[in-house]
Amino acid sequence: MGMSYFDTLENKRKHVRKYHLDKIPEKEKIEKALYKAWKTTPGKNNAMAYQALVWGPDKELEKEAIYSLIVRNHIDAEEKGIKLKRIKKTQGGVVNPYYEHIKLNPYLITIHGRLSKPNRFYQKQIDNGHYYDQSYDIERIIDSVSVEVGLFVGNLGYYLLEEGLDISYNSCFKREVKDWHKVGLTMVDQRPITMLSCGYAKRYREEDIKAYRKEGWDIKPEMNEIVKWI
Amino acid sequence: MNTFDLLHKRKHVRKYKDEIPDKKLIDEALRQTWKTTPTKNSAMPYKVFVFGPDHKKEKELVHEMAYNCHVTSEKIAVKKGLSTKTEEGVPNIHYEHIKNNPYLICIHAQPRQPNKHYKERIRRGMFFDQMHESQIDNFIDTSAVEVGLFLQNLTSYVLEKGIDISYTSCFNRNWNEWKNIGLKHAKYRPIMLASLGYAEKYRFEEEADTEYWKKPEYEEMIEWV
Repeated sequence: MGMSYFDTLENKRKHVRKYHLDKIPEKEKIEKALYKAWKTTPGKNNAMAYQALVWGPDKELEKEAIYSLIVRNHIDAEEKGIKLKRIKKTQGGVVNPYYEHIKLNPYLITIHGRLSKPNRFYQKQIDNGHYYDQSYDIERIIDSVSVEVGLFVGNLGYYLLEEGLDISYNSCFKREVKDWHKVGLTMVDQRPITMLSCGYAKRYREEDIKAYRKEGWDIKPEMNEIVKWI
Repeated sequence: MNTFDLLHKRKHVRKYKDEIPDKKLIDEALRQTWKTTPTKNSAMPYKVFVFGPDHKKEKELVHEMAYNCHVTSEKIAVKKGLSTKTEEGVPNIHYEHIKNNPYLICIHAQPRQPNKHYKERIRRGMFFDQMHESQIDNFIDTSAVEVGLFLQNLTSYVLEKGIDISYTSCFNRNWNEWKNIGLKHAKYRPIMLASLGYAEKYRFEEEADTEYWKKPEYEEMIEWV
């Protein structure tokens, strides 16, 4: 009997500080998890208006480029905070070490928007007057597509954990395709939505927190702040 | 049953049974979900509102909003030249789960205050955008991905308990429109809706030809760079 869904997430999913770079998970494990995620994730109008790009162990330069977009975004966000008068100073360009999993990992998966074509059922609906918005500007429906991407990466993350791998998410990065092109990632033609890395962890973020004796500092909001029964 | 088989069996509900799942089961699933869903900066910048079996009026209002949103989006598409005609107001029967269900879940955006760790980081110059109401629309994609992670976990936990779940993302995003029709539970824009209960009938029973309404192929969705 395997571990339950709850125990898998509760005990195995931890943000990775460093991956083992000399211990590469078999490609088949990643493919199996991707297949299962594709198979079990629902999509509005069966459109799945997004695409997963998988950057394997040999894509070191590309991962460096993606990492540079994260660092840039973080700096820009702080500068924006100053402009909006929400903060008085920036961190002076100090790089967050918890982004490093994006450049140093065996596999990186970035999820991007994708213009979708209707299946036969929806084509008939369109002929009858249905508006299939997933064929047009993804930015207009980005909240809806992003929820679906969350469903997909939730499934993918779980299936990767089931394979004995570690995963980490990141949502700090430049959203505009032109920024990706500027750093040489010309194969990307739709805006990114989220990303996750996977491999075997060498060290977790929680170990750093323990070492700094800051357990109990970085906690999420309480259940009653998140869920309200009407 | 393993998780893959469980999720593979999930189907959109056409109609729920009158039988109401025990509130304790829903509460337990929500607690498990809250406990295991990760979030950027430990912020969870959303709030989950649960309308129980006695909130029929509110569910009817939300359903009406979904219907109106559908009709309006078709009219706008015609105006913009993206469609040649509308469905002329024919209601989509697959929204009915929004009004006829034991439990309706509405997830809305919600600004959040930083915890002790992030207060320290802010002091050093970090910009914690999740605490600012004015930034909600700027990071809605991030919040929505997290809402998806939350819903995926909730889905797994309710399915484990034998409860069905269906989603809807067709509704008016403008919170003022919700307030105008009498829905005043939240303060910020909605992100996603889901209903929970025991299914009497699934959508696929009416549309059995899966080849006819299939999702995009694996190769269209996944690309090894």
